[in-house]
Amino acid sequence: MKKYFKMFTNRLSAGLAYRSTIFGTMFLDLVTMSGVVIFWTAVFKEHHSISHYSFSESMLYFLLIPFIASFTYVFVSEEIGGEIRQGSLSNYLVKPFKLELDAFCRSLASKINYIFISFPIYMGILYLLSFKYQYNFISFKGLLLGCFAIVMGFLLHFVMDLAIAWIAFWIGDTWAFVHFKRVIFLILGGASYPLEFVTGIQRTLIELLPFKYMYYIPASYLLGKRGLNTLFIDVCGFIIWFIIFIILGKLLWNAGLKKYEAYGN
Amino acid sequence: MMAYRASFAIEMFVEIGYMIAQIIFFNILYGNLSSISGWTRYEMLFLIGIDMFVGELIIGMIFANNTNTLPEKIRNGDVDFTLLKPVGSLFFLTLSSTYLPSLFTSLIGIYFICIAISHLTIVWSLLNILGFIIIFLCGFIISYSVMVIIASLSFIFINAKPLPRLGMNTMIQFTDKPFQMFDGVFLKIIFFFIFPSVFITSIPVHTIIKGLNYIFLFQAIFLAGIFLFLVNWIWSKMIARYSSASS
Repeated sequence: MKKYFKMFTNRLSAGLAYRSTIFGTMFLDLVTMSGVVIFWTAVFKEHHSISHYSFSESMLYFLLIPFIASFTYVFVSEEIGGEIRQGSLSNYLVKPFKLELDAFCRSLASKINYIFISFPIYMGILYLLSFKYQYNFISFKGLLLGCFAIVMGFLLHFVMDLAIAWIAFWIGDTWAFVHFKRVIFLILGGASYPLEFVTGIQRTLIELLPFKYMYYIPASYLLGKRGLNTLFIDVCGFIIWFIIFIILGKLLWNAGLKKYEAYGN
Repeated sequence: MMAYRASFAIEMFVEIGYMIAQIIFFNILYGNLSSISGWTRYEMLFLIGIDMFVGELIIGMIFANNTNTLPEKIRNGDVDFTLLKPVGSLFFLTLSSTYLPSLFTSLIGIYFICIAISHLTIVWSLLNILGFIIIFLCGFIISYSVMVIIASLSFIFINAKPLPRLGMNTMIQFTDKPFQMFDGVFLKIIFFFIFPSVFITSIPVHTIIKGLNYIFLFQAIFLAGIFLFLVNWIWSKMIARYSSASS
């Protein structure tokens, strides 16, 4: 475990080395938040509610999405996919640690960097905006359940992304799959709109898929739209999908490793 | 880029995927609403079509292979070779390489524009069309200038990879929103003067649908001139302070 802790602290230091990158990412989030605030303020000037979401609830939902994304989104498929394509995976195969745990340390380190630097500023802005837009700031119970849901979202996204990364053994570049994943999150994950905006059979299908865990489920718990009564079902769904992606990842890794070739490394 | 046809096709499908997501969001929204800031469904579709068209143009011509690669080129010293070439460094580093998948997928925006126009009653006039073209071109120049100015901060903040994306997002994040949304003095100053993205899509579309507004026309021309001067001046200052990365 010591070696993994050391890897984690190394990644943490590397992430903090270029502070302009951290602040640049934070400004990107601020631009996104501004767009959200402006858009939904204009929409709700003419309408009182949309699918039982009031103005304040909608505002808080969309303001929370970049915040949730910073915790649940991972870049494993881009990083490891690139290493497989370039053949530098060979360096990891001869080292005395598991690549999956190294990838986990990388992802976790980037989240910790975010917590210490961007998170306080982000929560401060959310709190100040609560006075202007009069949404009820997150309750303590909502915060606890929301954090739990965010952890579920992070873990599920990690195993999903790991499975996507192993596809690089066959197609060389996972770039397209990474972007398709983002498009799917926009449509099916709750990143563009609360899933309550969708009705009928489409809603039922979306509820069965794992993508809602990335944005919609954490946002719903933070908003208080979901509570202890739905927690058991959500955890069961998470466990099922987690196991599915773990198994899929293992199968792809074993098959891919047999196929893997690298030259000059 | 065309040599790897499979890769090219995949990149195009990815761009189309983002457009599909945008259209799905639009349909879900207008399934619940009748208008947004006074813009009806098909007026908004017209705006989204123009936004897709110009957004992909901006990504393909300015961002993807140009400003987005600037931090990396500065960090590893590739800018040195650019400065030795008999071509202006501003053009070479910000406009010389195009990302073809975006240019092709920008044509999909034209498809949605045609659908929107077929459902709208537009009074076509040469004046409105000319006004649209001039304001659109001015908006494009403004967008290029703002993106390059922000990306050029990479000469100061080494390895600041988010900077080019910040420049791009600042300009195209708001281009699918009607300009009437930017209410109040503060927002008007930001979106009509400092980061005037309204001149890229929203005001040109409004010109076609509602007619030419001369104040917008002259403001667009004035701002394009100002920003073009600023980008050249700031770029020359950044190049003057550039020091090589030991190449």
